[in-house]
Amino acid sequence: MPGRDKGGLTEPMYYVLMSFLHGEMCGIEITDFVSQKTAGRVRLGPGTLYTLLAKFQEEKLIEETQVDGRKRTYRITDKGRDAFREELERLKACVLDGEEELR
Amino acid sequence: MKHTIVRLIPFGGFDIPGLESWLAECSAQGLRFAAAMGPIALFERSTPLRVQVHLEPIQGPVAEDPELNAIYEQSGWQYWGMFRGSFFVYVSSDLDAQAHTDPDTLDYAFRKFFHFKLACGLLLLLGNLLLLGLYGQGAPWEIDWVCLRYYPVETLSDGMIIPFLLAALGFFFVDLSYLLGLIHLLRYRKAVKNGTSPRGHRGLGWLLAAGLLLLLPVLINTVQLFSGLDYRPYDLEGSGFVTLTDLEGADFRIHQDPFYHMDYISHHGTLLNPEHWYFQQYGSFSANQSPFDVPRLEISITRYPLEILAELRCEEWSRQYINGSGDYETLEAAYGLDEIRYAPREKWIHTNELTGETRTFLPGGIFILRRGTTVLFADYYGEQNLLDYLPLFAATFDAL
Repeated sequence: MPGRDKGGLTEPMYYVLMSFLHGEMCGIEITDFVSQKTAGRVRLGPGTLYTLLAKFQEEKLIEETQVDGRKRTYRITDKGRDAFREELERLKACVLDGEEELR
Repeated sequence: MKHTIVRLIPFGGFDIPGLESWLAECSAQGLRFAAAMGPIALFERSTPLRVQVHLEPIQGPVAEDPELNAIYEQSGWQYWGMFRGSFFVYVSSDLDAQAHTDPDTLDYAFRKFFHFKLACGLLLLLGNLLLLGLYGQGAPWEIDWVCLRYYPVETLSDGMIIPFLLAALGFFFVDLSYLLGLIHLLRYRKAVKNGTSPRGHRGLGWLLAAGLLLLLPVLINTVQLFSGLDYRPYDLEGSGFVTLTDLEGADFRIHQDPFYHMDYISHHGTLLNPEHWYFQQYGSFSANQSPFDVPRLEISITRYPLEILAELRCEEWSRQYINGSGDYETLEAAYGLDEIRYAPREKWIHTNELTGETRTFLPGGIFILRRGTTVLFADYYGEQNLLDYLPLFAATFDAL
């Protein structure tokens, strides 16, 4: 799967990629989105966000759409959407497996 | 007006924990980081602040990133500057603030940064080898060790050996500093992955500083060579140099071929190659004569950086017997000269055993004169007594 080296996406990776499903986002909006979505459970350090944006761009999961002063906006690509879906399926399968074993 | 303070960086360029703690210490002493170039860092005087410093490895273009600064500012960090072309420097007054919250992402950042710096290191090594190649003639395997043993000043003044040795040593220090920096970076990456906090390695910064200090004169020397500043000839007329006309008289015919009649003084020198003047003149000779059948004069002058080198060079010259010159005698210092050595040359006739032809070699003499750090060597072939012209040769020093 693109966007990860081995195994699944980490939580910060997953939520950052998820944020783009809402549309074009800039760095600050992503931080706010992740914080609200996870009720502060997932903390996104500025260094982590910077690295992820560079990594996702390099892997063509997102692309830059606009630069306006200090604000740079990105959007998810089809490849990024596929990567998110794939990860979602993997997580669903993980949850199902766990629930099955608990029964 | 801001007061800038310069400090030598005591840590290697990729020693993240060492640099972060050092910059935090500086801040606590009232030194706010502004920039870092080579082995030095620039600070501005400010009120002492206890801060946490974070070095963010630069992922993209080496330029300030306004978006990144905005993201950091949102989390309470402040951008202070760029550390060489490697890191953005951020500080936070919250000593527990975390710039990276995902170990996997941080590991990715370190891995990418390491690979980029490794590639830069290989390019640096390649560049070093190419630059060393410029002075390849000064490499140990190119040196004539017998010459070096008996004529060290002459051999080392060839303009290649000293630049090569300085460059080789300088590049060794710089490359070693870079290599050790990469090793520290690798160890730091592993430590962070394992959840431990490694300490910095103080002292590595000196290695880079020493290397660059050695390379600085080589750089200046190379610029002088390639810009043509090393060669500065000037006209013979008005130069103050003794000519064949001075020795042989105004009616004496000088050869008109530019090779045998220099109407200029060859003059060159760079920071690592002693300043040198050269001049030669031949009398006119016919088609059935050789240049060795007519009076001629050759003058070579070198100014050394130290007087001891000039003294040693006089010794070296006086061990050389040239075309039947006699023993050197040391004359009493006069005309402002510190050393006067003179070797007369007798006329001699050589008979070819096979053909029976005879050939007469001109008499003459050799002067080795020194004033301070400057040594003059003059080799004359002709009927005049060179000693009569000593004041003229001594005056040449005044004209340099």
